[in-house]
Amino acid sequence: MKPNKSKWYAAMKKKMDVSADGNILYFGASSGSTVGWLKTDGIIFAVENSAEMAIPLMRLAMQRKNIAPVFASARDIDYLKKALSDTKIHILFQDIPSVDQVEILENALPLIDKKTKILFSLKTQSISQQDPEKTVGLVKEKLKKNFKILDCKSLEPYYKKHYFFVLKKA
Amino acid sequence: MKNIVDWNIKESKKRIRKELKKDKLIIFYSRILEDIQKNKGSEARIVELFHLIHPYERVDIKKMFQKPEGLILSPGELKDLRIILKNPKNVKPILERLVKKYLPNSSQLIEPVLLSRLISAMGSVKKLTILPSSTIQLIGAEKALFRHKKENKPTPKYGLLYYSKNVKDGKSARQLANKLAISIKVDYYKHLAQ
Repeated sequence: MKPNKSKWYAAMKKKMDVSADGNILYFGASSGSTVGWLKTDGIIFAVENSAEMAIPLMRLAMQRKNIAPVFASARDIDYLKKALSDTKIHILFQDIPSVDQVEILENALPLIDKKTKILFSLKTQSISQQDPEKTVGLVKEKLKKNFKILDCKSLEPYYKKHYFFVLKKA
Repeated sequence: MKNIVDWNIKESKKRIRKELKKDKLIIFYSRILEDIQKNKGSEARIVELFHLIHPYERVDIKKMFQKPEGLILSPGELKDLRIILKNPKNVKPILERLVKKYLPNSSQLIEPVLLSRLISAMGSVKKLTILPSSTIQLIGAEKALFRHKKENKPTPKYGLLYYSKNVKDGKSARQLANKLAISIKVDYYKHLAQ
């Protein structure tokens, strides 16, 4: 694994507190390169919405024992509740580069509780083409309504104009 | 723990199956036709098709006609598939029949083989339905378009549409693209999406 292939690993190289343990809910799993590399005792719920990318993910899940592939949109909370079936989530990771990244995170609030650690990878270019630090300021103000910001760093040598947040429910 | 994982794998298989549409088959046939015109072999294409019908198994051509987990084919289409696997050169009439069945309105406007090339250039019919007509007019002329934007060269008037019988100049290409943008939306939501 290389740090410029996975945002989780890049954040780890930046010495942030992102160690994996317990049950993980992973939004934006794609073909499963990061999911296959993680090591936990619990279940990894890998949510992906594109059929082409979900097929390699399904093949990976059939080899392992603790990966549960969920083929659904991350905005579809009703189906996600059914898929999780009241499992307690310890870590929520979100990596969906889109304009409404923060709204997707706010939507998922009923799935988690106050002890859940939230890892949030932000691509500033998909929100606005202005100076990245201005965009981060706007996003931080939005996040403060529902979350407590524990840590925020840029992933500079590995990813350009990407930021990584560690959050908790307020 | 095992129950949740198994339930999710089973349910995701069902939901992925609904997403796979017959336009993937059209793309596959039209690429075989292009390969034949360029004198290339089609062994790698057959592996591609195997992954479409059996997405979660190892490649074994003998198992091709067993119970599928991916795309479901009707009995007529399975018969056509057997003919193509024996000799890929028979693909052209089968492709025309398939396009006429699933896209009846748009295949009256332009030639079915050309329509299948437009679909294969974009990746799926759903992507074509989102496009404005001016973009459909220029599919296949991307190189000329960016040359125009960067170096102030003249604008391209038509892309792949130029191979149609009805297109002679920029005006007729524009008119055809306008009609096509409407008819492809009708075809997708009426015939293919169900």
